[in-house]
Amino acid sequence: MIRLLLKKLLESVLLLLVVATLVFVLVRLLPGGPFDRERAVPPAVDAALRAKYRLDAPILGQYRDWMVDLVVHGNLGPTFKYPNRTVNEIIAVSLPVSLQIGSLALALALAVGLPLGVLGAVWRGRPANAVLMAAVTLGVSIPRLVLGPLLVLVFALGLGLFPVARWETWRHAILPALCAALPVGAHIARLARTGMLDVLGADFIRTARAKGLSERQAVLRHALPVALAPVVSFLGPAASGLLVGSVVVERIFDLPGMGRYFVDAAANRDYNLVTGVVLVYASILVVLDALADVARTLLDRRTELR
Amino acid sequence: MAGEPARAAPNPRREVLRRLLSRGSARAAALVLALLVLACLLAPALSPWRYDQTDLAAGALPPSRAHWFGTDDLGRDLLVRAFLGGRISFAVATVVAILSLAIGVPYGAIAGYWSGRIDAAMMRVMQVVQALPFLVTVILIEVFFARKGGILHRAFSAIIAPFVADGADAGDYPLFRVVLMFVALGAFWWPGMARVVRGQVMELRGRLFVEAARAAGAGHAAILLRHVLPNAMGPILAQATLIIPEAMMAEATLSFLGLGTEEPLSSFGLLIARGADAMDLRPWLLVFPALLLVLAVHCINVLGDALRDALDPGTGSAPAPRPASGREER
Repeated sequence: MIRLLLKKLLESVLLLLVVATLVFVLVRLLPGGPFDRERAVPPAVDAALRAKYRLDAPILGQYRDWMVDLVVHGNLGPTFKYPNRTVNEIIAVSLPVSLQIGSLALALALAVGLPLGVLGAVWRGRPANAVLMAAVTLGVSIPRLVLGPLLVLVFALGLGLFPVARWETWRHAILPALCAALPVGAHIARLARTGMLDVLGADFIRTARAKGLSERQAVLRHALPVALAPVVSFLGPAASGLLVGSVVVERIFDLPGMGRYFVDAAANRDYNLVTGVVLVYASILVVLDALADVARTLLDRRTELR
Repeated sequence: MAGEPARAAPNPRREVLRRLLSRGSARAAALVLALLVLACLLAPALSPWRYDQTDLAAGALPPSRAHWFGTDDLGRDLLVRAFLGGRISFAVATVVAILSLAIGVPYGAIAGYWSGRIDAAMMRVMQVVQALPFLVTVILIEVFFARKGGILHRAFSAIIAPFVADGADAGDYPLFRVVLMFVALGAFWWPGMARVVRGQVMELRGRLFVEAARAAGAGHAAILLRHVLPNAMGPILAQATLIIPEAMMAEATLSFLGLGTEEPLSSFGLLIARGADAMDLRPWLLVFPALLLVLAVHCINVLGDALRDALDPGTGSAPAPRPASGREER
């Protein structure tokens, strides 16, 4: 087990290195540079800017400096678009906002999605279930860009329960978290239901029932852990998406999260910022995926950690 | 039918279709979807209004008999713009599904068939692609291919050259952005497809009928194309039905963020973005496009669920409702 975990860790670090290198090279291959503006910058100014950020050096040299800075000091470098701020500072300010909304959304999605999925399997065939599953399918079909404005229209503008946008008190976090959570919750419900249906027909559940366990115990103690496998593999990628922040949610609710830098940095050719946010996302993804692998083996002894 | 061996085995394709249409919700979804597609195809042609015909004096008007969905701030008819946007949405979804099939199926088949070192290397590449965030990938690909004089730009220019004025650059046309979106989204969804194909091929590779074909002297290509892949059609199709609604939502998301379809063309996402800006004053601008998008995606999802059930009647549940991309970015 320990050796396998170490192997996973090594693989993850290698993967992150490859991702960092790939993005580092790709952004520099793009047409247009970080200092291109609507009006052409005088060549002397452009040259001075490039020299200041060492962009005039050969790409291998830039790569070596950047990598050394990252590995030795954990420093992702300066940004080009926001003078006097480093990539680390930008991430340090924006990531906590995204993490707060993301974890709230994740908790909401699990709290709603899991029970719905389990009930959907246990209540199979009842009319109530058909309504429930239709609602869940609808939940999968409503993208956040529709859900967000609708939530604002109803709960903020109509009922006046929550503020429309901005990031100040806890009340400002409710609508964005709801908006981020609903699609994920609906996916979780579908996955949990499918997993549950597969498991409920399995031999070991029949055994559990035969030895006299109540239906409730058979479902919750025996079926649920195994049925969760598909949910757990989905949670890795879904959670990392939630935790770094959704651009759409941030734009609708005007939040200072990290999600928007995925768009802004790439559009501005802010090389270091692009590489930085991609690395943060990929690190969270890799860690959560590894955790999901471990969780799956713990939940279902029939699978082995690969 | 299983109890009557005397009867000829039913055509499997027809059997799937029969099971699919035996469900009321699937029939309803198919009908609504057909009507939607028909409206997208015909409405812009039948309407007396054009999608880019402005009426600045009138401005934004609520729904009326002349403009069923109302008009936007520039006085353009929203119905025509919404259904024109529907065209782009459906086109993007279809092209993305085809592209992900075209890349994912051969990739997954090769990885699964040869396994070993080739497979390991190919899986590593996919891991890296899947570790990149959706929007960054899409923007990088779009910008990369948007380059003037690049392959895509030259091909696009050659195709639309007869229709544009001399000296105009094809890359400046909004339609070029749509083509870019095809490529970028297609490039994003193939790993999910490749994973499914790989798993199927690995499972089928060791089966008896493949051994028999090999013993009969069939080459690798013949085994893959004639024996393995046809038997993997079910899961491949199931995966494709998951990709289509997701691609549709992704197109809307990109346009919403200003990275996809651009004015004066329209798309659901673009219209929703504009509508959300003024939703308290002119709610019809938000409500109609939002409703159409949700309706289209929902119908495809219901149909996809039913199709997956029909392909795999054993479980009575959709075998793989997992998001096709494996990632959440909507």
